[in-house]
Amino acid sequence: MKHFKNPFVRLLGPNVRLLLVPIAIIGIDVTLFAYLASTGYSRITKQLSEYRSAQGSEKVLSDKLEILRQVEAEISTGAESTVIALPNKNPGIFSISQLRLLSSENGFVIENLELANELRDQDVDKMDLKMDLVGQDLPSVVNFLTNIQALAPIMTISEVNIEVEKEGGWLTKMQVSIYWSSLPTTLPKIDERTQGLTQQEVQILTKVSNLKPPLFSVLEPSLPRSRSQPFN
Amino acid sequence: MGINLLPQEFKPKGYVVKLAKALNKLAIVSVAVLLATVVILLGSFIFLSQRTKSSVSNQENLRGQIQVLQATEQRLVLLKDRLKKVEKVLDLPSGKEEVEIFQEILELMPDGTNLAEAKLLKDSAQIEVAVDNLANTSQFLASVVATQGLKRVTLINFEFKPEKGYTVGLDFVK
Repeated sequence: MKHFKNPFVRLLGPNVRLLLVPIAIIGIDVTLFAYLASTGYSRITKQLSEYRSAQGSEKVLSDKLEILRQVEAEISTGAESTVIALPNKNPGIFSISQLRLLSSENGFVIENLELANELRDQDVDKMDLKMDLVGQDLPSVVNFLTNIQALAPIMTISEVNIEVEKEGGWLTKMQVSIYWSSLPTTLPKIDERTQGLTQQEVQILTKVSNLKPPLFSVLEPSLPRSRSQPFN
Repeated sequence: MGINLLPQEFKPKGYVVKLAKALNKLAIVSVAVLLATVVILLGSFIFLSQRTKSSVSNQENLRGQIQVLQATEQRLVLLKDRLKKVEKVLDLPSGKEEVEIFQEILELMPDGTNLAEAKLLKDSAQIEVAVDNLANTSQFLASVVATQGLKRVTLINFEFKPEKGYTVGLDFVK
């Protein structure tokens, strides 16, 4: 009988020998199970977290792409009109041009035009434009003052003083403020969430798009033409 | 009949045999559970890894498509920046209300009443009118008082000169 030959087995009793193998198997299984449960759970949890993070990033990118596709057609002209309404540099020349045009439409003459009081701010810079308007007609004065609000670049009326001219007619001394702001210099990161235009922004855009822009003329280069007298 | 030559002290007890059988069954079950756990854990890990890799690949694809629309994104950023600042400017006092007051008062002036001077300031409109007689002055003041939408009307000047007539100065706040 072989169990009599193994000295270790001979030391153990018959009861212990019978129970040894299943107890050993159960012990090993429990140990492995405990190890797998703890290690496996932490790894699965970590992997799940990574998966959720990747899903989140994918959603952000997908939404961003969707928004960019939606707004592509809408904003093609909108951006231009907002830059005309609030330029990135001092719009003094454009504003003066607009006021001269408006004054001539209303039968006024602009005198004593002066730019002063430049004020730099974090967001929007500002300057004052002072002028005197000489005209005959009071309703035209009101029309002029009302229509300033409809011009681009945006101007706000700071002060108006209307008095009777000695020679007849009306002398209007007024001060308007003109605004400009530097352009953004950085784009957000590609993974950053993007929003489309909000309701409020659409309303402002509509308002700005309806402002009357300055007249720009494009000078085309003239083509070469033949000279009948080349030496003249 | 066979003779059992095994000594009694080498024979396991009856209850121990039963216990061993039960433990054997338990051992088989525990091995099965362990194997099942391994399969489930491994399967989940592989599944999640694959899905994560797929998501990362999709992200690269989306980034490429967004790069193509970079010009649109620039315009959108510019537009939002401008609109935010335009809103700030539009919230400033524009003089619109003061011009409206001035226009309303001009329309209220009866015959024999002329504008002498007008000052449109940031928060108010000051208007001085010349009136030929007291009746027209009363009519004008009554019309002004009856005007809706004015927050406050202050009489700042009331003068009479025989050569000029009445001069009434009012300050309007909308």
